Amino acid sequence: MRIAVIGNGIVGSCCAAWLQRDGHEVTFIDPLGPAEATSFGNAGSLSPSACLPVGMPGMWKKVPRWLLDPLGPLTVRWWYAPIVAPWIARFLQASTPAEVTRIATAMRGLLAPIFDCYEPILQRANATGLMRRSGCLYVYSGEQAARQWAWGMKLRRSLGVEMRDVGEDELVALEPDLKGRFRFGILAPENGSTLDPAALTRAIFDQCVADGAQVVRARVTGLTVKGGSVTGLTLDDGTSRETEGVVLAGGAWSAKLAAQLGPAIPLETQRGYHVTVESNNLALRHTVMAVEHNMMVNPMRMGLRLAGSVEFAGLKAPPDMRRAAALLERGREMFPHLDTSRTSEWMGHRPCLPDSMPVIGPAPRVDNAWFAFGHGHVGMCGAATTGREVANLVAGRDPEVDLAPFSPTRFRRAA
Amino acid sequence: MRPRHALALDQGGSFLDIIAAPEGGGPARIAKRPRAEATDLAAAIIDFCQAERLTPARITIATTLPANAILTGTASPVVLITTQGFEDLPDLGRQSRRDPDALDPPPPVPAWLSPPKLRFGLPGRIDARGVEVAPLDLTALPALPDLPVAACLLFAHRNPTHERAVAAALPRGTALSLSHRVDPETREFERLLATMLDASLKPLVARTLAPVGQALVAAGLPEPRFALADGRAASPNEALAAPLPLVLSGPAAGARAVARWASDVPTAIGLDMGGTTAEVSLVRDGVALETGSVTLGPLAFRLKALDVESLPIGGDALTPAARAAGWLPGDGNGDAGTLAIAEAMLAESLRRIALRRNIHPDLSLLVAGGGFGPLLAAAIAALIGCPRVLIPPCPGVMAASGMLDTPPALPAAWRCRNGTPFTGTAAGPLLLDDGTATARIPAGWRASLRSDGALLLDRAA
Ligand SMILES: Cc1cc2nc3c(=O)[nH]c(=O)nc-3n(C[C@H](O)[C@H](O)[C@H](O)COP(=O)(O)OP(=O)(O)OC[C@H]3O[C@@H](n4cnc5c(N)ncnc54)[C@H](O)[C@@H]3O)c2cc1C
Repeated sequence: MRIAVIGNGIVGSCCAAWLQRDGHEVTFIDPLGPAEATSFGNAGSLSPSACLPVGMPGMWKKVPRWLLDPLGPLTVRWWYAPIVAPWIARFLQASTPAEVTRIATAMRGLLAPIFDCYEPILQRANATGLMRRSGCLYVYSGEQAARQWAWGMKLRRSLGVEMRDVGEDELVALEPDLKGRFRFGILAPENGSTLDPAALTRAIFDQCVADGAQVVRARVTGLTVKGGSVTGLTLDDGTSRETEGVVLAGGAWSAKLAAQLGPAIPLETQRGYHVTVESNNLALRHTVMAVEHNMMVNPMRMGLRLAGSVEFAGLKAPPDMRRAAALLERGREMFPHLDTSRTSEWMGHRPCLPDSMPVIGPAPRVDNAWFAFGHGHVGMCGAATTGREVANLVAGRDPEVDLAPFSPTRFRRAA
Repeated sequence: MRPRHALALDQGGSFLDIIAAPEGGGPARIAKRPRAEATDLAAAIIDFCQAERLTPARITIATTLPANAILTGTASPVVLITTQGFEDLPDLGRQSRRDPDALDPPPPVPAWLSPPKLRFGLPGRIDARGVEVAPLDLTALPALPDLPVAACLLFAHRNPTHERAVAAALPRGTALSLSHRVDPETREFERLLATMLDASLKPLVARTLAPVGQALVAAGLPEPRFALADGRAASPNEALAAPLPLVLSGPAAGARAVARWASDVPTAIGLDMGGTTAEVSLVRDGVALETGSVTLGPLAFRLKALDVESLPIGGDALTPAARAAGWLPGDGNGDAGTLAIAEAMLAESLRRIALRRNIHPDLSLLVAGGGFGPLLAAAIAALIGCPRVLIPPCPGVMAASGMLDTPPALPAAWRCRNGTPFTGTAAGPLLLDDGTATARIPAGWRASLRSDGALLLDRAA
């Protein structure tokens, strides 16, 4: 089939790679190059364990603080609060223990085969070196502090995630740079990460192009639907194109096109920031999740990346780089000996649904379009599995992961 | 006039289970016969009806015969008629190995099913849109041996004309399965395998199951129906025409029963553990989950079925250990450690199967039946996190009850080991027997009897 993939971030690139394996002719359509949007600057964690939703039980108690502390780990800009309030109400509804258990179960199904799904496409792209499986350390100021997150850890373990408690001595032996600040850790040995998320995305994209994918640098502004199928795309350069099929992988910008093909989907951006410390002088070997700081630390080839923070302020407002500075501040607290003479900052748009699950499935109103967006905090983790499953759906094969929880129509009732 | 009964029979690996439920309600009667004593299914049914002095209005049968014939390779070899050039498809399969480390991986199609000399390729071609590219040449078809025939031509599901022409050219009375009827779906190998398995069961069904129907009718009883993998039932003629769905008939009946007992919870896991295997099924919103592909021993093939996974672990092998542990009456010299290992293995499998379909044990009811399920269920629930276990009345015949259109009123006859009837609630450790199975309530669990006869086991807070 001649199939248009809208969006060439990590999700669109993985979908294209898996579709090509089935022999489809892919055309990427995106005004940006590969990994110039959210897939550029994320924390690069590739974790089969990252199955917990953002909204955890008890979260509602913290809502007032989100509005009051503009540089806290999670903030809502005051002018955006009325716009995002209904979304946050749904987000809180999905944070009951039963809902969180249901969501984590579904997400674990999507994330458990991360490496199985990345390996074939990275081998083909000659880029397996960009992925490493060196484990992730969740670190805490002490064992007492870790108890606050014990319920989520137990849930992860019940889903088959291997997580091992690590005492202070072993923690320091594993990562000498953590000495002094952290007294307790939990090691997820099966987790991996990428040395460079942008390079990983580009490698997959470039291989698709080498394998015959076409590239159109334009934004899709509308879809032509005839007789229950998408037959063409309208582009912002005034041209239009015919197509036999469509995969919508437009990240945080997908909602408008999706609404043309089915009921409204409550997609919201959770803006996140990074600081990359290019003058990194640490010797970290694991990715480190500083749970109390709500920050991910990943030693990458460009430097030490500190990433995190959630900001509700929509797609248009300019970044507030004070948030990146706050990340750096926390990095200095964690590693007082870190050389921070050279840094760079960045903001990206995590495409988020209230239940923290992506939308993966056939577009409701047509027979030749598929949705693959909304991966939120775990788009790098979930992209390859999404690609494999989209290829399964396009081919009419049974999905290998139960996709029912990711259905594009799941928001219909409440919408 | 005597009330008429709906009869359900489940022929399992070790026992034949029978339930007779009066139409329009009233207490049902049950019986369990060792399989060896009930090899003649028709005679067993006629005997039961005479002994119990009842007139069946409907008879539904689940049987392991077809599944066993495939598992043991005693179903018939099959003549394959395919498009010229595709004769090697049974050996090629999908080129995927379930166990990448296996030194001697099983062939995609078992050798007994498709001997190479029974494969014939015919010139002629239909393309992917269903348009004829080359006409069919039936002169290439030799005289065939007296074996069932599977016709699987390229893209027959798009355009069956060529397969129909093959059917017309074969001698009348040939046992024949056509791919566009058995499995009209894309993907050549999957369609071929389903069609060949379907054909290979036809002689068995004609020889063993169809005569059951004839014998019952001759004895003045109604024509039976056979339970299918998707939870429906078929007449003998329908079963003869399309026997493949007869595999998993018992497990599907069990899954239906589980779904009935789980109708008021969001999700449930079913454990139906008999003498030779343990069947695990899943229920969401009161509906048993379905699947499009079935695994039977080393074989995986396409078939719409209730999603039931069969684990090769059953009560027969564990009985000596259960006796030694005092869980079952009688003497045994087994090692009690075996039971802990069995529980751990089952728990791991249940967890894996449930999570695969996005069902978390923490949020799910465990419904346990079969002769052995109630003995291990609470311990398994404790391992995987299910907060509650439901054991239906007469759990030993749970699967058979799933074949009845209306839930039978089964007698709850739970007794403590000292012989006193169990009513109300009690805390574990406790053993309760009902004549079809033993329920074990370990320490830390509490049992209560519900008005419909189901036993609820709850983890103490
Ligand atoms: C600070 C931060 C840290 C993160 N850390 C991690 C992590 O450690 N691990 C992890 O798994 N995930 C992480 N994420 C999340 C991850 O980055 C995203 O989920 C992922 O990049 C989303 O990929 P995508 O392909 O869907 O979207 P994008 O990469 O944003 O790509 C979408 C593309 O679609 C194009 N597009 C949109 N609309 C149209 C249109 N109409 N026509 C044509 N093209 C269109 C855009 O131009 C863009 O190129 C993090 C995110 C942030 C912000």
